[in-house]
Amino acid sequence: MSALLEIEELRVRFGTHEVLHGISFAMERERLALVGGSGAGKSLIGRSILRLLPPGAAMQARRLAFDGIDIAGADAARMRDLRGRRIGWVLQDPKFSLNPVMTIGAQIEEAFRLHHRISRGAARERALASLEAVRISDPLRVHGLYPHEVSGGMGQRAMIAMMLAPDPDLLIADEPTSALDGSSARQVLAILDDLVARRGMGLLFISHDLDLVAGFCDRVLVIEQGRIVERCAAAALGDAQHPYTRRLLAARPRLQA
Amino acid sequence: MIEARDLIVRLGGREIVRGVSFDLAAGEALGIVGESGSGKTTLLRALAGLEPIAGGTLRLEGAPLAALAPRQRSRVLQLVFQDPYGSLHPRHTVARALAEPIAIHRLDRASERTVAALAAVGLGPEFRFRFPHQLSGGQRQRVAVARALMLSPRLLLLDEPTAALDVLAQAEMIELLRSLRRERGLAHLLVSHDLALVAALVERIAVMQDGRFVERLDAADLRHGRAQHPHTLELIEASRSYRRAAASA
Repeated sequence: MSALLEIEELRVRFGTHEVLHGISFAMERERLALVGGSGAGKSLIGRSILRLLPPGAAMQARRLAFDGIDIAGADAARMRDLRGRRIGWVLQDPKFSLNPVMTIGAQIEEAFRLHHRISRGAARERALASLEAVRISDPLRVHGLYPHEVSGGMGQRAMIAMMLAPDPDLLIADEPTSALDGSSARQVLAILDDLVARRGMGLLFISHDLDLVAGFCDRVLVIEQGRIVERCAAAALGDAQHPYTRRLLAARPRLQA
Repeated sequence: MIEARDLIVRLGGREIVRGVSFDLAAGEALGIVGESGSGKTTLLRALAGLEPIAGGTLRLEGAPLAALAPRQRSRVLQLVFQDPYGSLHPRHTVARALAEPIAIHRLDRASERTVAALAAVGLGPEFRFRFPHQLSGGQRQRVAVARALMLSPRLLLLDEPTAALDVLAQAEMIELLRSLRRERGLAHLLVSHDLALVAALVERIAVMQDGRFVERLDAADLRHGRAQHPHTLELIEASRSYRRAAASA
C-alpha cells in the first residue's frame, strides 16, 4: 500500500529563480508539521500539493502522489475533484477565505452539495452537525450569521467545519491559529487534534512556531530557504541539531523562565 | 507622562472601555493584555486620539489630551500597528513614507533625519528607495517603527507589533524595541494577547477583560504564575504550549 502523500524532489521556481530545491518526504495518516521562517517555502509545499501555485510559479517533481494518484500529471478536472473532497485546506485568516456575502451555514451546505448529491434538507442537517463537531455551542444561530458577525476564532472554526464537510483524507492547515488569541488558538488546535484522531485523517500543519507544533504534531520537518534541514519526532525537538532549528527554538519568548 | 482616570470609550453606542485608570511615567513601559474583544486596542486608539473619549479624564504631559492639537500630540506619542502593510502606502518609497511627518511639521534636514531613523532600526540607507512590497515582514515593521521615530516622540503606543511576524523576526523586533527604550528613554504602552511577548518587553502589566482592568501585576509575577484574578489565570493557562494530553483531559 502506498503512503497517503509521497513527494520526491519537488522543485518550484519563479522564472529562473528556484525557491524549493528538491523537497522529499512521505506522510501517512499522521500529524506532520512543516516549520520555517517566512519565505522558507513551506506554504509553497502545501500549494504544490493542491496545484494552487501563485501566478508565475512553475513546479516540477520526480514524484508527487496523493493516495497513489499522480498529482503532478493530473488534469484540471481530476484536481478539482481532489481539492475539497479529498484534500482540505485551512488558511491563516478566515476573513479572507470565507465568502463575506453568504451566511456561514449556506457556505458549508455548498461545500457538501458540490461533492455529494444530497437534498437541501440533508445538506442543512450535515452543516449543523459539522458546526457542532467544531464545538460551536449554538449551531442554529451561527448557521444564519455572516462572517463579519462572528469572532476570528468562530470564523476559523466555521472554516474548518466547511473543510471537513466532505470528509477529506488529508487536511492542509497553513498557520491556522496565527490570527487567533491564546484561548481561541487552543480551541482550534484541540478541534483539529480530535478530528484527526477520530476520522483517521492526515494533517499537514504549516507553521513558523516550533513551540506550538512540538506539543501538537507527531513529526516535524524544518524548512530553511527551500530545503528540508531537519527531520525529527516532535517529542525529540529539544535534541534537534541543525543551527537553524536551534535558532527557531530559541527565538520564541517563553512565559516560564 | 500619561494620566488616565476612569476613561470611557463608546463605539456604536456600546461602552468598549468602561472606566480605566492608570499612570505612565517617562521612560516607563506598561503592557495591557487581554483577549480579542476585551477593549485593549480601542483603549490604545483613544490614547492616540483616534477614538473619541466619552468620559473620564486623560492628561498627556499634564495637559488634557483634548486640548492638544494633533500636531502637538504627534510629537509626544506615535502609534505602531500590527500590520505594517496597512500603515505604509503601497506606492510610496520608504523615503517618501518617512519624509511625510517632516513635511507636515516643517522640519529641516529631511534626508539626514531619514537616514538616521533607518539606522536606528538597523536598516541601511539603501532602504530609502524600496517600496513596501520589496521588504520582508520584519523589515516593513522596522520601517513602521522608523517612521514613528521621525518626530522624536517620547512614547510609543504599540498594538501587537510582532503578531504579523515569524518567530525569528519577532525576536529581532523585541530586541529593537528594548534597545530603543534603553538608548532613547522611550516610554512604551504595549497591547497584546501574547503574555510571553509582554513579559519580555515591559515590567508592569494590566489585564483587561470586558473593558476594565481586572488585575495589575508585574512581569515577574506573570512569569511565576502569581496572579489572583481567574481571568489572568486563564490567560496564563492558555499561553502554555498545547499538549494533547492536557487538552483532552
